[in-house]
Amino acid sequence: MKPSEEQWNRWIDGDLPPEEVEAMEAAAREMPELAEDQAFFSRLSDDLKQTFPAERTPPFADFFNSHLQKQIRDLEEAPAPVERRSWWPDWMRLSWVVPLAAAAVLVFALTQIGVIGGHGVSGSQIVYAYTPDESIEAQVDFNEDANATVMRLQGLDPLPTGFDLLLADGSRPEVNRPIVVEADLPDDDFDDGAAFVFVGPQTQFTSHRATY
Amino acid sequence: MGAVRFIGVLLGTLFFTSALAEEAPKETEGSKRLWGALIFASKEAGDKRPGFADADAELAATLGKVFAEFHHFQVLGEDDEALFKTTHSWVAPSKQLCVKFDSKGRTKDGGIKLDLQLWNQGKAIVKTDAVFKKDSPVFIEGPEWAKGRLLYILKLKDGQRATPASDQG
Repeated sequence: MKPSEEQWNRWIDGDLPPEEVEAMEAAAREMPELAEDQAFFSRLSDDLKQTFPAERTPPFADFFNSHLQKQIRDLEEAPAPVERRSWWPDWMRLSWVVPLAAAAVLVFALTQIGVIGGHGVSGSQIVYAYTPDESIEAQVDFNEDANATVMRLQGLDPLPTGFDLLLADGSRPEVNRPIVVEADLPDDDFDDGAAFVFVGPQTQFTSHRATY
Repeated sequence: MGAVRFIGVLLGTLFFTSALAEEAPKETEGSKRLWGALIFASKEAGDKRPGFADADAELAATLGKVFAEFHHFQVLGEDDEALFKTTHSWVAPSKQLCVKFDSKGRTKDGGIKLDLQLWNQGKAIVKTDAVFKKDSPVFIEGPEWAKGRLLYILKLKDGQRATPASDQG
């Protein structure tokens, strides 16, 4: 019978019971390499035991014991850690306060820079200017003192002194005012975006769609 | 979980406050008018055009801040028109130099969007997209005329037909 590895290890260590030792010795007679291995490892085990004794008294045992006891006493006598008191009031540590405050700050900042609330641009603006005549150039700027948008048209030909501006005569509004045509239009026929064109001596379009 | 709650409260507050801030004021139909005036600006008193009144003190002071090279401002003519949605009309104190406008509705902050065209002798010389705000006029520097320069003023006004900007006294 071939011995198992566990049996073989316990045999080398001398931990096998006598009946199993006999079985192992019988196997070793049939397998000389086993006997040689057993002899080698037995000698090695004996050498190790002689070099490193199984029990060893620790040097200065009293010193180590007293040192450990002192550390235990120090831990027990140390003052309990004091809870650090936050300078934030208790109510400010509620879960909703911080995001609410952050939102308020953000809204304030956005209103100040005009992203919301419409306070960023207080005056009128000319967003875009186009001059069909390439010889005329429109320059737009905003005058803070006058709170006014100013468009300067460069390249316009001067008008002669005698040029008739055909000014509207304020003393005769019935002559110079445009003709206003008022008509009641049924809602069904007046969808958003629809336009009614009235053609007359002057250009005037009046709708009855509420605007503002 | 704390971060999710933080973002939720933050977004909710932002949405609520933004909606409040951007709520457009409601006004009745035709409550806004576009007022325009043709101004003659001159440097010397002797260059003033006879028969035309000086601009009132407030308007003259405002014009003086922008066109500092001129010292006298006379109102040659003025006109105003009510603003209606999808309506185009004219502000024509002069039939040679007038403004056509198309109302494009309101901005969220109370302004009025207008497409403007300045016409000179039957031709559109400039086309603009503009946003008008209350108490903030638009000044257009026009051509030289006589011994001065023509200016065009546009301004948003409330209510009924505007009172004259000239000082007849």
